[in-house]
Amino acid sequence: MSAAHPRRRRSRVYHRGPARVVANLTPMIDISFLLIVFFVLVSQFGDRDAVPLRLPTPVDPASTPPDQSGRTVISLVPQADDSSVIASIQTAGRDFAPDRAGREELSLHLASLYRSTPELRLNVRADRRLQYRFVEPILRAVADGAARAGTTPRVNLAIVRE
Amino acid sequence: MTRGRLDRVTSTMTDGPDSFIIDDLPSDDQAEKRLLKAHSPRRARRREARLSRPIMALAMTPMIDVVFQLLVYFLVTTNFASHEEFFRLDLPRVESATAENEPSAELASPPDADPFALDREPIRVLVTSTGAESNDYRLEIVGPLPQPESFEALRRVLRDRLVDPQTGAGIYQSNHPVMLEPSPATTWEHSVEAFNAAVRAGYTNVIFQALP
Repeated sequence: MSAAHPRRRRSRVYHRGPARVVANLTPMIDISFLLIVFFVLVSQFGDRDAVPLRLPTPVDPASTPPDQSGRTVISLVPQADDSSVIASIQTAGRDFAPDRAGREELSLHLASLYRSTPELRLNVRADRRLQYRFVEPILRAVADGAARAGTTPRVNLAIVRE
Repeated sequence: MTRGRLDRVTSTMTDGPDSFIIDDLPSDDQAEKRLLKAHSPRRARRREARLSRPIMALAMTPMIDVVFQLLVYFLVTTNFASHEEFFRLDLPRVESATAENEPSAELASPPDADPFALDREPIRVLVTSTGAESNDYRLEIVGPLPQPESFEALRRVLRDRLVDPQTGAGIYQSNHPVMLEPSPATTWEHSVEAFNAAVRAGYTNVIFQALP
């Protein structure tokens, strides 16, 4: 009986016996929600080709939200000091010069894309200050590329809804 | 309670027969027995085994399920693009890339052309930028239509000429071609604004003019 007393006295603190190992949920929930917030903030879908541009922002645009069909992004990047002049044509990690040779190269590149995906839609993103004389040859190059592949050139003109 | 009984048992053993009131508490005997039994090694092991079992635990599986559902939901549904939207534009189909200097086949009138077909001359809208800012532009509609001062006015002019399917009033069908003719120096912003005005007016066949 004297041997039983100390054991019983210790168990008065932990009435159900010695402390048990339990998982602490709080840090796990913390980490999980941090992961959620992280992915919400940093993940990008299909906008990997989206070069930062100041796109046109029409008043009350009748535009449509992006669909999930096959598409390729063409960004018409202006010069840093003069945004009315084009500097380069970027598409899917490739860079084309905005001169005649570059446009011909772009047209051939698009033709190969059109052959593999005849229903391809091209998202044309151009800076709002860019002059039409630099945009029009690109649209013509797109039409040429589609003609080489024997399909209809379909283009999405990208804008930003304010 | 067990502790109280234990004390009482102990006191009856030390206080002597005067305080022998244990008969009023018939459970004391049993308590003593229980106490002795409880501290037998076998009982103690069993008791410890029972107490070391978890009594209550949070079910983590559904919580992890829900957290991962949330994770996947946000991964799939969020759109981090800068709210980009698009105007759909089908470019005119060219017959071949080298046919630029040859006479276009579309210009020649087809042999079975309907002599009573309505004139499909496009509505031509000239768009000129007079400066780099959003309000620096000039619009001109070729033909006997009121000249718009702004893109909103252009939209109204075009919409008022659209054939109303209810009353039949109007000049142009919704698929009547609207040709936007930006000058070479027109900014892309003004070109797109004009495009937007024509699309908002209800026209489905809006095209940009090719530069010479």
